Amino acid sequence: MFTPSHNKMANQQKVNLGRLLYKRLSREMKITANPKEKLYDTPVFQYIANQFREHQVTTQKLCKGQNEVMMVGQTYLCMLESLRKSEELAQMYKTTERSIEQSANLVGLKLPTVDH
Amino acid sequence: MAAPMNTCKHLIRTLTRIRKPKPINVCFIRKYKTGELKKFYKNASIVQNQGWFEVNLDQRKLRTPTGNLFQVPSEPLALAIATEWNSQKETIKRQAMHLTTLSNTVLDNPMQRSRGDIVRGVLHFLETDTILYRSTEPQEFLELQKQEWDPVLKWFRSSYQVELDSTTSLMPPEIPENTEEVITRKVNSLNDWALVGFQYGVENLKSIILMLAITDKRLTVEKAVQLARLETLYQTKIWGNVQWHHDVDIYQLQSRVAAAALFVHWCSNDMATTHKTTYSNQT
Repeated sequence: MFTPSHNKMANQQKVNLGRLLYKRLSREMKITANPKEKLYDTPVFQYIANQFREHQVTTQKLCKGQNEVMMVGQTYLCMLESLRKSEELAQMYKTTERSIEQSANLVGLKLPTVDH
Repeated sequence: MAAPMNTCKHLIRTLTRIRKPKPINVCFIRKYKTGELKKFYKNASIVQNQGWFEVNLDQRKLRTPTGNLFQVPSEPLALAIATEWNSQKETIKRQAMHLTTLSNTVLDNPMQRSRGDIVRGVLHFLETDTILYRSTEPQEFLELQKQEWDPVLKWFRSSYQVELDSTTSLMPPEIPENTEEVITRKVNSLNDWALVGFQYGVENLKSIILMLAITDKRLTVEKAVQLARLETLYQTKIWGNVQWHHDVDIYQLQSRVAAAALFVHWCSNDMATTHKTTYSNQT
């Protein structure tokens, strides 16, 4: 009596995780993709959508492990997000290299003058 | 690709005008300039050709750095690579294109590595595996190591039926022969493509056990990277986190390891069609 509802809850959790993954993947793809094209038309997005459709019932494939396809989706999401964040950090912290004169000025020194 | 061709034609034209008597070798079309390469295409797409998947940049076929035709054995991998190329904005940033780089490594084999070389390289990490080395102080860190690394080690031992102990000394632990055999067999079971991806992952994580946990879908990439950086994590909790150093490190590691994991998964035999492998004829 207790187990079917418990299973139902676990399944609902899985569905929610799936939905969350789908949303986050779509968001990442929107950011990185071509702004002119509609995301729906791209073959990549269609592949992802197909995968979600195909594996609706179970994500177990070839007895390799639970939620195998979900984990692949999560790994791809991880890669996209990490690339984006690493790029953002690089942009945020980039500086141009200072010239020698500017570096010297930082500590209150001037470059020596050369008499020819 | 258009720009170097034009400069080459221009070069030939000017040199023929000078009329040098001896023959001139002007065919020096380097595929990629050392400076910044502008995005020279509008769209990257994939095509299927005799069981392999190729990437087209506009109408031109993508090639490897040595000029070979770029082919991969798996559709999702090709799609992901096309996405990498499509995500480039004004300039091509090759350092962000991990899947492309891994595929190029398999196709070109620039360091002339045989399968044996790669497997040996991977196995080398077994005796210096990160989660086997425990530092005894501070006490809190020792506890943290036990708490985080021991479950993974336990899973590894039971899943592969091998014995492997952690060590607290500087010397590498004794690897039982059976363990080494089992792991060698496991690594060798990967095909040429998956093997390159696996080795890249191990190199970045500095641990075979963590990479195996990822490919066996036991750990997420984020968790594995966290475990690989446990000491740094512990230190930054005490002394503070430097965003432009530590966070950049995390995201770079994550992107590389995720790319390696995806490469292994998509190139393994159940996802890709098996082809005559590139390394098998070398010993």
